[in-house]
Amino acid sequence: MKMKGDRTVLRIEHLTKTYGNKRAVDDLSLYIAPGEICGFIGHNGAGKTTTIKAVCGILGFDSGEIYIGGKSVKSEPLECKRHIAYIPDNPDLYDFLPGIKYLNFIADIYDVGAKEREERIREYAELFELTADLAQPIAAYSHGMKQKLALISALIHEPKFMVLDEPFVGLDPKASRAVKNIMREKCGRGDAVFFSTHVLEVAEKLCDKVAIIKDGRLVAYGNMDDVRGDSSLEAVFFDLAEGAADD
Amino acid sequence: MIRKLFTLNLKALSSGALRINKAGGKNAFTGEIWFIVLIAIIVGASLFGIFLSLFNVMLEPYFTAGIGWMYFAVLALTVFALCVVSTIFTASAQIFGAKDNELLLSMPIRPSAILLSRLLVLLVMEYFFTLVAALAAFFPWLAGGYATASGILFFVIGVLLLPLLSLAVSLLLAWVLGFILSRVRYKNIVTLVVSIGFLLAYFYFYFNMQSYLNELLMRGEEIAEAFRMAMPPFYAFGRSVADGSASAGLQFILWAILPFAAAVALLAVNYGKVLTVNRGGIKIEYKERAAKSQSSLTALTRKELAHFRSKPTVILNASLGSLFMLIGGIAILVKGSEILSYLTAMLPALNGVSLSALCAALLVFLCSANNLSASLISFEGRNLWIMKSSPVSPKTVLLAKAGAHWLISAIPCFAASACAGIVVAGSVWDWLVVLLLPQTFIVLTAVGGLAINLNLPKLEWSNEIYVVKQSASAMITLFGGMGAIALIGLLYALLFSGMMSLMVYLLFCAAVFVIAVAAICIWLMNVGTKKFAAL
Repeated sequence: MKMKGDRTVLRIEHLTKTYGNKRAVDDLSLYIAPGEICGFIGHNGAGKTTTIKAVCGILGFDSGEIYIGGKSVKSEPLECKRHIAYIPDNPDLYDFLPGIKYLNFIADIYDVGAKEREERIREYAELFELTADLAQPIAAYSHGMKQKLALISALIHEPKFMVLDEPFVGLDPKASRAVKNIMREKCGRGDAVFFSTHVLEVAEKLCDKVAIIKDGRLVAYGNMDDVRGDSSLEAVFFDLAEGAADD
Repeated sequence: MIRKLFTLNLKALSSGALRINKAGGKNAFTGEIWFIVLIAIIVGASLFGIFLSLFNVMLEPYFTAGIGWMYFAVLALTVFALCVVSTIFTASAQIFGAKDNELLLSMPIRPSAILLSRLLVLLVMEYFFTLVAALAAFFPWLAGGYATASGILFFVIGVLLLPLLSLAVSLLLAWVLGFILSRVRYKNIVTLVVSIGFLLAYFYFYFNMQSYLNELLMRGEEIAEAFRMAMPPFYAFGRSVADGSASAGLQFILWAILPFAAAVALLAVNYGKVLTVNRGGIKIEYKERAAKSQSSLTALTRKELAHFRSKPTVILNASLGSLFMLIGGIAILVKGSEILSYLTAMLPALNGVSLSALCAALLVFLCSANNLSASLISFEGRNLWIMKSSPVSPKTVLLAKAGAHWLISAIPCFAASACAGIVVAGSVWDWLVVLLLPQTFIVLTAVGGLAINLNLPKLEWSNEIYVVKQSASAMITLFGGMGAIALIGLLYALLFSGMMSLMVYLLFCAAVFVIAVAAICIWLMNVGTKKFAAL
């Protein structure tokens, strides 16, 4: 049920998604407030991508609710998507378009004005050192270049909420640092970021909040300091994983 | 190892004609195999019919004139042309451009094994076409009483070896094409021009076959000598079968085996190098230009058109009708009366039929060759996440896809209709039928193809060619459209010709198309949008 006066950017309530007999996500609940970066951690196949896809309205779900800025992903999908930027774990973009045309296409889809898009494309393309390659077809891009283009396209409409699935894979160190800075800056302006990662050190340094998922269930969730305690995130993660295995 | 790789490549080539439900397992796979067999039977039967009529016409004149070898030389040439045209782009994609080449090279597999497994797949395709044409030539020959035991023996040997010759040439052309394309900027235009050139040459040859036959009968010896000099492998094949000549048979065996063996040996030795060579690319310099914003519907439609334009194989397979409409429009404007009198001479049943109705019917037939909309959902493939995470409704997405199909077909069709109208239309009704009927059929194909593709999407593909050429939705839309036209023609001939003129009947058909479009649109907006959201 949607809470009255909901001020969260993301609220997931009892999300359950099954594939055949397998429960990919099982009764998962969490929320992210404005200004927060939440890391989403788990083994391969734990249910991270399924949860992320459900949040972005890409994947339907069996039960539960997801609210973006207080609006239901189920009943108001387009309104929710207008405020989200999503980057998948493998940025499959339109290979047949040149980079610049792809960015303009995304800007059109999100109804970004000509002036604003020009400025943002210029700014982010320079930041990610992609300006010289914008006329090239995406088919000629490396994995890292595609990842950078996907990031620029995600930022072009100034989203309130960024959902990133493994955003640092394939990025060079400079671009990785730029992404981390952007995340911080956005959260400083009251936006929020939800991202999955296998790099626990990055999550530990960057995130305000952390959610650990195992076999579709949330096994730890809260502020980074509370979850980590006196230990490291890595130690907590393996304790939880082994503990769950013992169960 | 070669066997395993061959099976893998064959599955990749045929996979996903229907979307295999992983939970469906073996039954779903068996269903897919049966579907492919069904389509192969339809294509094979159509080609067999065309070739049979061709060889039936040729048999008596050639054998009576004492140049029976020419009958088989034409068979060999036809098979050669068909195999080369149909496999050159697959050869390019399979042999030189397969996406798993580097993965396979990293495994403990000899490059020659990778090559041979891919060649076997191409040979399967070539044997299919060869068998169809060979049977169409074999039956009239046998029925005509010209077959001999040695002739049959050389025929069988020749048919088994013919694909080797065409595959060797396909490999060479695919390599040359890839080499040239790596050095030009506008690859798509070059590929398109080359492909259209091939296609037009093929059709030119086919449509002029009768005049060649006449010419041959009049100047038989002279032309036969020229043929012998210019195309010795086909001459040798013809001589070996028609005359049972062992020396000609041996010559043909050498002509087939040596180029193939040379091509395979050369490639096998250098295959690892060929696959990993980096020819570099032409870097396009970026110049910032003032951006223009447009509506999401326009952006989506332009995206579909950009995808369409980017792949010559898509243009050639999914919009061939548009090309012929443009050529036909110009032809009718320039040589209208000649073409129409030729048509009525060929088909006496057309005498007395309104020429504008005839043109409208011909245009509808050409429109049915355009089945782009049946591939547009599948084209989303691994990019589907972009549409699904974007703030655009499925309704807008579907509208853009149908709109792209409409634009690609309607504009050339309108031009062709106008050309035909100028030549044949005498009244408002003439103009109405020639303009309206093809346009209603185009909209029907646009929405119908989309609906079929929503029900049979093929989202896992590595190259668009597998979607436009082999997906169930593309084939159903293409053959379904042509079948519907055949049915309409048959219904008129058997039922309605006594009740109404062809003009009235076609206008009635246009009304039926409009009703069908409305019904499909209602389905698309209600069920179709949900299906798209659930993909």
